[in-house]
Amino acid sequence: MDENKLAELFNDAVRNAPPASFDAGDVRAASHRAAVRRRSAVALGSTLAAVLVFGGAALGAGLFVDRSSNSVTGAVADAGSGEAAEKPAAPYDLGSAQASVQRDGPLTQNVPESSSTQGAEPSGNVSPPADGTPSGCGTVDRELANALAGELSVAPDQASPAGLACPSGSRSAAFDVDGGRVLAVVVPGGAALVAPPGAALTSEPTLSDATLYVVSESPKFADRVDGIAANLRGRF
Amino acid sequence: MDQHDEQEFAEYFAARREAVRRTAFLLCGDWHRADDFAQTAFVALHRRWRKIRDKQALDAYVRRSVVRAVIDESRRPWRRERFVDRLPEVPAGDGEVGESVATREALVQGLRRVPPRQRAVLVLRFLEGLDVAAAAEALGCSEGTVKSQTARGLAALREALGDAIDDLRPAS
Repeated sequence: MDENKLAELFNDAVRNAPPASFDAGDVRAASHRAAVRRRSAVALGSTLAAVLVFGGAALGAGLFVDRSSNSVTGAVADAGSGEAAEKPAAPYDLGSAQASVQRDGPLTQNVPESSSTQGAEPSGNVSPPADGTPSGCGTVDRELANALAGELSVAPDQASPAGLACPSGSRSAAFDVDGGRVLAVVVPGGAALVAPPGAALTSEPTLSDATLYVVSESPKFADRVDGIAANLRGRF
Repeated sequence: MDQHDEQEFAEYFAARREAVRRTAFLLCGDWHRADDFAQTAFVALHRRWRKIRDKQALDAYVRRSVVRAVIDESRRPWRRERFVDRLPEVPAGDGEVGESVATREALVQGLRRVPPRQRAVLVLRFLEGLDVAAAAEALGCSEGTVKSQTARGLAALREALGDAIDDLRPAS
């Protein structure tokens, strides 16, 4: 087999080539596009790598921060539980807002019965109790105030503390009416209540074995204390 | 590239474009794809023009680019070449011109049945006129490999063509 004849055959096979479909300008443009693509790919890769590195670093730091914050939270929780444990021993450290909640709601029964040895007194007390014990007459009992307001036909939010020397565990509410004040006090058991001089006083046993006192300093309501007491006794 | 480099590239491109196209055509058997391969090779050369210090090696670089592009594409699943038992019908011609065209078509179709690497060896040796050493450098293989691939390629081409071309009959 002659290699020259083979070469002639190969050259004959490509002799009638069609015109080229590209020129030097096309090559330059394609080269430029490829260079731009490569630069973009490099920039994108660099950005991605930077994001991964910083993201990983941030994630790692976040984990450490979370751990430390958890420990801080745990410490706070521990301290909180410690405070919670200590709270019953220092009830007068409550904030004023919490104190007002206590004053308004049934939490008044949580008022400690022991005498204060630090000179503190419950907020809103008009006068310290004569026997030195904190009493329910220094705060307004909302349930009792609502009931008494209904009897006196006054607005419940005008209730004021009774301001009497009450036995411990008492609940009270008072309203200013024409000519003086009308008070209602529920004392546990059959404890006595000392009424202001000149006031009309009546008492009724309640369903919970307490005693309801209705006191009127106003002469206009002096004859209604019995009726009011009869109406309220069934609710307490 | 600066103006001088662009001018040098334009001169080289004008001188070598047709030769590269012809090589690519015999490697792939289609002028449109041959243009794509040739353009790809020239684009690669343009991007590396300033880095190629030995301007005598430009031909080898472009040749290698084209051969690799064709072989790489032949390996892709959607471009994978399939061997068939029968060649497509060769257009019949009358007289000397018709015979020439038929021979040309037969050679191109026969080359398509030769495995890509052996086909590349045949094209480099008999179209480009490279000797064994130059073909080995262009293909990145040993001279012994080029010799063996040449022999196998010719045998495959003979088998594909049968008696279509007398010059490919083995000398006995």
